Amino acid sequence: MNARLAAGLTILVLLVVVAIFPWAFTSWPRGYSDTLRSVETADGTEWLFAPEAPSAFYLFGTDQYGYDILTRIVWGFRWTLGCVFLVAAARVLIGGAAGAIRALVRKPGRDRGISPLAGIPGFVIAFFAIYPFTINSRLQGWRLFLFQCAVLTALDLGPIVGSMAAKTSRVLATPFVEAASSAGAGRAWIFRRHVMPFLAEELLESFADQTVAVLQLVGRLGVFMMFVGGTVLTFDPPLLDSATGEIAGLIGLYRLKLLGARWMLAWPLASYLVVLAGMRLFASGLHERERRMRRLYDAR
Amino acid sequence: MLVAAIPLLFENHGGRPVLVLAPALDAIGGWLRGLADGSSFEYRYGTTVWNFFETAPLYFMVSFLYVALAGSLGLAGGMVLGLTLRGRFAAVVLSVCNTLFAIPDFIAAILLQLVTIVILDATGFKLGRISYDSTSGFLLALPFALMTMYPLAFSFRTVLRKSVEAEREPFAVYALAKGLDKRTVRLRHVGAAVVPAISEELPTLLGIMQTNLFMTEYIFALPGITRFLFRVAFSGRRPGWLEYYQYPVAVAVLLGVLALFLASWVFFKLALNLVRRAITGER
Repeated sequence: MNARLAAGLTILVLLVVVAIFPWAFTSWPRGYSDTLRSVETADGTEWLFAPEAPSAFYLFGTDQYGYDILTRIVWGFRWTLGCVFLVAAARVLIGGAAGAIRALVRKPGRDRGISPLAGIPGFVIAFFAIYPFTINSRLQGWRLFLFQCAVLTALDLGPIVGSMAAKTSRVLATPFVEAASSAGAGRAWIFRRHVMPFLAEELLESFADQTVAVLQLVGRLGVFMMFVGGTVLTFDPPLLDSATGEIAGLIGLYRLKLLGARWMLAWPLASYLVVLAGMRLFASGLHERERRMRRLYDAR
Repeated sequence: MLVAAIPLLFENHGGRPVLVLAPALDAIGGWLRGLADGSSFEYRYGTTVWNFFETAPLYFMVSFLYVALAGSLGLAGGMVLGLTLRGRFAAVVLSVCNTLFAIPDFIAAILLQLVTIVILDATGFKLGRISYDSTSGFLLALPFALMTMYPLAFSFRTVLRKSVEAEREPFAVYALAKGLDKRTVRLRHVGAAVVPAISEELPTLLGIMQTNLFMTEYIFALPGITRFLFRVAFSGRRPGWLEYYQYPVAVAVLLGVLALFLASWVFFKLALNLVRRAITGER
């Protein structure tokens, strides 16, 4: 295991532990809010109003509604990581299966050149698709989360199918597959015994790349107030909030606090970067491992 | 038309998303019928009805300026660096480019704003405006830098890879053996070989830049065509918002975004063609 892979795995395992046991990492229960509190000082009683700057009492500070930022982040990890891992796994499994089937039943298609639809970014189409359900949705909690994940999975399947079909075709064109075919091996045997061992490694690498891609997609949607798990809109005055507190959503939510209580943005931003770094290191570590194995294979 | 109809495809039936085709088909039919009298390009903003063709050219121009100017600067910078840097310097710049590429555009935009404010608070020095308002010009330093960053990193990586390959090609080795100096070979032979490589990667680069443009215009509140979509088509974040979703605006803006993509593609193709001719001296 190379250093990048080890570092990436360590960060991800730690984040998963935080996501599974959030109560162990914060002093406050989920949804805890404190807009006004008093502190006894030498000069008498001091009243503190939300938002409170980071202190020994609230390590990451509170937001304008008195929510403890650390509690929100710690409880939000499960939604962000859950969405990223679920969508990446679904994309790779569905796209991988479809790509392999496409390569087995027909030859890979030619490059069709420039497509004008490439001008519309994927997150815009995702925004269009989840907008009707995300704001004040009746589908709250897990049902909305799963619906959003299904939409995000379906969006970028095309390139994964194409990539997996190309990789499968490359393996199918290798001399050992041709030899097996000449010796009378059927398609099912060739796929199981000769293609799958190569594809398994590719699928794992593809999964790691997809986690980064999905995290970026979730982040972009968060900037546009489309939060994983739902957006809550209240009126008079119109205010938007994240139903789950997932960290990409917190960035979108606190983005406008740049000029005042900057800690509200800084901590979710730092948390997002830690998740991104973990996933990037994991992905690049896997690629590095693959390169080393290939060099070893070539040397033999 | 189909992409813009996506928000109309689902309805809430007792809390369950149900696929319904009629509203989407009605909207598409209405838009097509409206082409005859021009009502397909009318939209409501506040209480006023506007015509898309009267307001959109300015938005389109702002977006095109950012893509064309920042993209040209980034591509040119990446090409120059990729052709001139070698060895340890190239490795350092490549590492910086890879790090830049690893940071998502919206994070980079927010970090730029954050750093600007922190520096302003600490020293009183203002790096640039953190968002557009009617008193500032269209071209702001921070979004321009952000839009330049990704093409620069992209073209540097492409040019470095391609130029290292091209330097080993027989035509470059032969030119050096004939006594031409390294600088001339790098410019005339290797430089000419990397331009088609960038041209080939243009759709990918433009795809990245379009995504950057959406984020940049939204975060820096620039009056561009992509921000228009979120400001006008989805202006009804209130109960019954679907009645306020303006399908014709969404179609018009998405067509505008596609037109921007094609216009940028033509612009960069022509520019790269001219660069290649200038390098090789072809007519």
